[in-house]
Amino acid sequence: MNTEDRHWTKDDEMLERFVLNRLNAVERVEAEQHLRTCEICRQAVRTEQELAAGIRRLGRDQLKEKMSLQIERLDERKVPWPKIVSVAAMIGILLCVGVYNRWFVSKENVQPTFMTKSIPNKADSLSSQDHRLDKNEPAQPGTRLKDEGAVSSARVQNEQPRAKELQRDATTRLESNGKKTQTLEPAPPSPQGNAAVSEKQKAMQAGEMVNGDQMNATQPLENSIWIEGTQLSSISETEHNAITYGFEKRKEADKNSLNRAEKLQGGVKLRQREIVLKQQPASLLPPSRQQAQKTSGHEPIQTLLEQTANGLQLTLYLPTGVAEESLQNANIQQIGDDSLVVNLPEQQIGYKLPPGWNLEKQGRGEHK
Amino acid sequence: MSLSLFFLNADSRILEQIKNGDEEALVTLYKTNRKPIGSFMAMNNGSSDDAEDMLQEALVVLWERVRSGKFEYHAQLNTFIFATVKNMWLRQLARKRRVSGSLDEETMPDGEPSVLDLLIEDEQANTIRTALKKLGDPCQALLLMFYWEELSMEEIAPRLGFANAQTAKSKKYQCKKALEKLLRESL
Repeated sequence: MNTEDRHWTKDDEMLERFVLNRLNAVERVEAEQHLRTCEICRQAVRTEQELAAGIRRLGRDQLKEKMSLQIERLDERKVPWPKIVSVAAMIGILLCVGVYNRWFVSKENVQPTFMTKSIPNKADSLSSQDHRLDKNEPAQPGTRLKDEGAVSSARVQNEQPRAKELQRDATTRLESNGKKTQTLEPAPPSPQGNAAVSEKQKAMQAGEMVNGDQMNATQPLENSIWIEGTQLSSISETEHNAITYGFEKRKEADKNSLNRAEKLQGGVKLRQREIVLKQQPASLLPPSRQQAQKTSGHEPIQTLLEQTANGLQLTLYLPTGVAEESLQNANIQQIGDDSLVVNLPEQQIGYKLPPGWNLEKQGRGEHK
Repeated sequence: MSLSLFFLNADSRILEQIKNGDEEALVTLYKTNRKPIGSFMAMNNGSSDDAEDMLQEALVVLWERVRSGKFEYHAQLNTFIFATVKNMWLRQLARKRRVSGSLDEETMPDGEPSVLDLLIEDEQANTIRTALKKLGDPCQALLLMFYWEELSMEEIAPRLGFANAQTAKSKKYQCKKALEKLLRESL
């Protein structure tokens, strides 16, 4: 090729090979020598280089676009396992907590746990009861003495359905936010029982204080009342000792009177009263009681005390529920005529009964 | 199987894929190199977007070299990609530093193109790109294979279904003239 005579850039193939660096060494040297002296050729080479650069640019961009699309598809296909595992773990934890706290059990399906406790009257005379009391053994559910007869036995058998019925009624009443129109259906009361209830109503209407909490005069209930239990495990040692002392004194007095009665009458039949223990979550407390719970500084156990056909029923609204076994193993101690201590395995709750709810009066009135 | 042989086998498969024009090979390399490149960029004032761009650029460089037969296998492909990204990014950082210090200068001290040159280059590239798209698929593919992938007419002819290299050469001539005409019209 004679680069001196003519513009080699007129040869398209030569120009392309120069730009694409495909010339051999000799050809390249000759072409570059010509370019030093030929402005037209330099311009042609520059134009060809720009064209090649533009086409390369397009090629690169197209490749990048294809790559990006495939990467996007890849990212979409990618399963976010860390997220899935963390969400699954959270759901699992929630389920465990829910099952533990019985969130998924509807209120209708919750079978209230009933516990029947027999409290001997202080004039009653069987030493076996004293023995049980002394040893602080839990009373057996539905325990009755043989000499109560067939009527009492039949009552035991019908006890649970009856208690369930009362529970339903109580729930209805609580849900209606303490409306006066719905009250518990008491057992067919004896005249004495009616008298006792009337006494209580009078006391309530008079606005007597119940354990430091004034009774709600606008919602007088015929046979139920709210009382507040104190966790005895949280009270001071001095207070606990005082309660224990009072309890021991009481027992001694009972024993003495029992001995006297035995001497005078040759033994009297034991009369028993029953206390049914139930539990409900504190969240089911009616608003008025929730408010009372908030304003009270010492977090008492709000409890609904009801008179039933067979005795009394205590519905404990516990912040954290106790196991059914705990309720079954609960031991109820009567201290004096107006105090009760409920011994649960985990806690000990003391109650001061309001005036008109004296255990002795009520119990005797019922069974006489 | 030793580790080096494993890498050799994996790399040879990828190189074969690239030679056959299979873009899936680039995606494989992208997945492998995403994290190390991201870490390197993060340690060198780069964002995750910069890391993506640089990795894609490096993969394109690899693609071009392999396709044009200029690639020589001296180290693992991952090493090649990392080195390419490192060089490109450090050069870009140096350019950014110079640009921030001398925005008004038309020429750069070491002979590299100035900002103005780069802008003009970008504009020209966009003009050519637009014109190429107007040419249509056959011409675009032919010119891309010739100028970008630097394939010979003998290689291009069967790929694009031409009877022989001479037919492909004639077609390329027509396409190039059409492109030049479009470029002249756009100026």
